[in-house]
Amino acid sequence: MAENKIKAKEQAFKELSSKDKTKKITDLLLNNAMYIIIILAVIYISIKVPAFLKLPSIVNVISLTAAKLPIALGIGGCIVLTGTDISAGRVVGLTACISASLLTTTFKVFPDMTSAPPIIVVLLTIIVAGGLVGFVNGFSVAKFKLHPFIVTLSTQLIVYGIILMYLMRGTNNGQTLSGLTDGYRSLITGTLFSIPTATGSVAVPKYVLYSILLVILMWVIWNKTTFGKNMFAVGSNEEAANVSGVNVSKTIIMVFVLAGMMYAVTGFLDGARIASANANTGLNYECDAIAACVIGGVSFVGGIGRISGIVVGVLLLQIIFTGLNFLAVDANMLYIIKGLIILIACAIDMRKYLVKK
Amino acid sequence: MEEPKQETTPQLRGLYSKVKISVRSLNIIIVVLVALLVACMAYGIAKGGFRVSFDTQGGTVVESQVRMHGELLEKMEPPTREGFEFDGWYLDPGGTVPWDTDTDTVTESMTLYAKWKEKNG
Repeated sequence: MAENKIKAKEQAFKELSSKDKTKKITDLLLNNAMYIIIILAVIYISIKVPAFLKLPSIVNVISLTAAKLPIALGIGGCIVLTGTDISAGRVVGLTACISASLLTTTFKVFPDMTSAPPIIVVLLTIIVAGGLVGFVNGFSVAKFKLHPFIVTLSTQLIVYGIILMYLMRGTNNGQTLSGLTDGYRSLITGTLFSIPTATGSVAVPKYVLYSILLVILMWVIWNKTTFGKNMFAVGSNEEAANVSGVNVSKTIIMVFVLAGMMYAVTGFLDGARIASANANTGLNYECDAIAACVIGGVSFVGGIGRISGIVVGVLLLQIIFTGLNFLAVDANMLYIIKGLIILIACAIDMRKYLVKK
Repeated sequence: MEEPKQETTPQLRGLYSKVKISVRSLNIIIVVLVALLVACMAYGIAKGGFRVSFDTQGGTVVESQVRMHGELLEKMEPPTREGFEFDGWYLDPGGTVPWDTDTDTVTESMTLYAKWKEKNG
């Protein structure tokens, strides 16, 4: 079946005039410019530093991808609605701080507490907290027709203020929260399975599994539910969706609430993964997530995007940055590279839409 | 098919709804940006190396080092301080996360902090 398709494409290509052929090739090269750069970079890096393609490094890339997936899955929905969400990173920070302050052995934020509450209670608490921020975002966007950028900019600042005040509570005095309980840490970073290598073994952490489950969950929500279909309808044309009986406000609010919950899960994973949380946890996470979504083909045009694209986007971004880290490229330069990647991804995104039209 | 596209630029939707740009200009923008990106990466790789600085917290100055990914720190003289004994390098000023110069390898730019013990007597 697939072979036939390729053959048919080949046939069609041969029938084109030479001018059309060059156009086709230019299209192919430019539309996939990002992937081509990343593949070339990976080849270069693995020649320079062979350790980059060794198992420990691959497992490291997969783990970091898994850690950053939930936030990207959440933000993807906001982008499908032609919006964005720049409060995401701070919500991750807030939920990581709440998790780290409750599931600890030192209780600096709540000096009166003596034992950690059950993990599931904490998880539900932060999911509610994340959902609440998402609700504020979604409600303002849906009901007051404010641009998501301005709404989430203000919630970003508000959440940051809340984090700082939260960290000043009790005897903590703004310090980094650490000393997490073993139960919490092992639930997230415990070994899912280990792969034996020549020199010992490489452990795959449990949060990789949780990320995979979240990807499946989001895939079902995006593709198999009415809510998912409504989301795409609202994203591609709000008026048309409204006329055809979609509850636009409810859809927008739900997308943002779902996104907030995803950020909360990211925070929950990140607290245990980094083994501490402070006011800077989650800083700039939304930039990486938005970049990953755009690279993965979730278009700012609206109503276009796939879960598989987001996964690929996060993975590619992680590969390139792990690789540059292997070449000891300074973190300052990485910010410039990230910015350029977002610009290129947007330009390609626009180009794809214009060419299709 | 090609001509009308060039003459009347189609309207973009969503976040790009205010953008008016032709495919041709976009091609140029993409090529320029990709060249810029490659240049930045090349510059970053050529200038590669993580700067490890040392904050001796009141002791004698220790020169910063540039190391590649996965390398150990170069051997250096421990700093000295009047009335105190050097108690190793730490990743945080409070001296809770130790850095073992014999086994820990550099993976990012960072600052190491000296920890001091008061001399007995």
